[in-house]
Amino acid sequence: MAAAAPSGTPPLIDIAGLKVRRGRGAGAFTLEVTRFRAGAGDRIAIIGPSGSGKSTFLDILALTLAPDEAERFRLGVIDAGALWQAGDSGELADLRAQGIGYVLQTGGLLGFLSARDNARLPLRLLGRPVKAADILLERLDVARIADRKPASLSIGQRQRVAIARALAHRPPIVLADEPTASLDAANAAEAMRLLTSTAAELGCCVILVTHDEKLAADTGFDPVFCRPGSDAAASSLERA
Amino acid sequence: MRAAFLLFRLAIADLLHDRLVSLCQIIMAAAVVAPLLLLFALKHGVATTLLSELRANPETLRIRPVGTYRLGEAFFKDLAARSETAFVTPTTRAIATQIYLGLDRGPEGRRPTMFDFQMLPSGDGDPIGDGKSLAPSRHAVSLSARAAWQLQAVDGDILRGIIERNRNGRPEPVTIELHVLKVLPEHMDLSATVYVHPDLLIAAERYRDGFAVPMFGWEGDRDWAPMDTFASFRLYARDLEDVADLADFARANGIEVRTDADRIAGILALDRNLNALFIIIGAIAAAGLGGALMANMVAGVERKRRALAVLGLLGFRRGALAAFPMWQAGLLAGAGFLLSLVLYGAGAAAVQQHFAPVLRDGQVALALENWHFAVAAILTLLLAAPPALVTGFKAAGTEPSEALREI
Repeated sequence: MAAAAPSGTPPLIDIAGLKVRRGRGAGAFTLEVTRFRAGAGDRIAIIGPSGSGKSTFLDILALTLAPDEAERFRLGVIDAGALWQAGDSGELADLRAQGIGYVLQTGGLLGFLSARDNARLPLRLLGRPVKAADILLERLDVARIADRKPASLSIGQRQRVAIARALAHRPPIVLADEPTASLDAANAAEAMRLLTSTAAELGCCVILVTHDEKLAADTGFDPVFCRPGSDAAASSLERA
Repeated sequence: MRAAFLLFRLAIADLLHDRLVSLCQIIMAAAVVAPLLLLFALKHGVATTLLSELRANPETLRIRPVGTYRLGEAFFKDLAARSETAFVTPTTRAIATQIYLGLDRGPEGRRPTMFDFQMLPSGDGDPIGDGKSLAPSRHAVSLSARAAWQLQAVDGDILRGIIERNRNGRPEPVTIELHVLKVLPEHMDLSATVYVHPDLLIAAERYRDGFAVPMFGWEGDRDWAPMDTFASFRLYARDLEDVADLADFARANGIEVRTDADRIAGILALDRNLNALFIIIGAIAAAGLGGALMANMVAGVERKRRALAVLGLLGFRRGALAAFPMWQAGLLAGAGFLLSLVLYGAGAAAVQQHFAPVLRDGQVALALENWHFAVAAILTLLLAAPPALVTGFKAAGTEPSEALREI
């Protein structure tokens, strides 16, 4: 399942001693990531109750939330922690464009673009040929409806298009935020099967945030628990 | 650069997707710009027609002295040196400007019928001659349309001229052969006037006063002496606004003058008042349009917040995200201006047709120059600038993490 990184190759995600605080006063919340490492081809499910900090951790990985402290925060050879410290939002945006794919709860597709143009968008931003997106749409069995706008697609079809968009530019890391939350059991299983099999073919590391521990286990994800601490306003997460 | 171009395409795709909202915003812009264009064209057309009518006739620019004076060289030097003066030349007493003219039909022709005309001096810079002298030599003349009609003369004809004086109760006429250089268009001068070389006018006065005039071979009791003062002048202002100033200068020198200054001042005041009116109306309309654009576009960015967050999550930089609503503001304003041109075209045709029965040849009810359209386009885009900047700022502030939260 989880392919260990070859000796000498840096892990795709390497985090140590990271702390992030959200909110103020009574609503304040702290997530502490003692250690987290992931390599190419890994499938990791972040599991935990609501409010445990799963989405906050996803924000950190998506480079959309700055950590307050981090001994180490590296994505491959890039020191993301240093980029945050330098406030280099342009480099962080470039890193998001090249290195990360996203599958959001309801797809997160742009309503004003066709499914095909949605899938092609990351490639266009990077100036790469769009054929890879078309091949993925075929493979995910949504090519025939790809000229339609997202509003006219079923939720399952939207999630397939979202998977195509997330994987089209072959990012090393794919972040999936409860991608099956809006689907029935059969469609959820099918979406997960398509996501994991396609990501595996492309060698992507998939980080899944979910409540559904069983679905994660059934699709071969390595569970990592986001554990609320003794203080209700703190959670911790660890994967060595 | 690639991201900016891609954002431009996305901005167009979004406008087309929200085509009903986009169309409403385009119509809203055109609903303000088109009436303003029509209003300005009407104001400009009325003022232009009135002013061009005045400018088309150089006689409007003329300052006419009433009575006779003793005006010396210093006065004419001062007058010619003034920036408002387009053309000035001395003239003699009115009585001395009289000449009898007849069409010379050659040795076999009948004796010509003679008519009485007033001579006016011409010279280089004469506005009636489009800046050229109407009588560049002593034997050349130009005729007003009425004079030419009386004489049945055309360009190139030879005229016989008679200047007469009385000595001891006996008339003493002298004759002179003159050739017609030009017949002036009717609107230039309604009177029966012959434009002559200044030497001929001076010679006529000197001859009437009993002097000999060697330059024309006319004899007299007194020897020729040049004139050191003149009774009057022919004076033209450089532009409509200069007429009143020159008239004031003449009056300050004790000369009573008649001008079209009141008529000119009335039309210039009308132009100024219409300008002020247009600026007030235009400013209020522009403020309304700017506010409406601002409200619509800010609401639009709020509506598209999640889409902008998704774009940020996919790796579009903040600066590029700012370009998204800014492109849209520019595109909507541009489309609004194009639609307003179409509406203006239709409105202008209707207005022109409505006023057609009361317009003479060459007159227009509406007039806009190309640069007016260019300025209107720039102003329309400038009106979209504040909403573009505000929405761009808001878009740039969209956090990509918002895409990760279900809204």
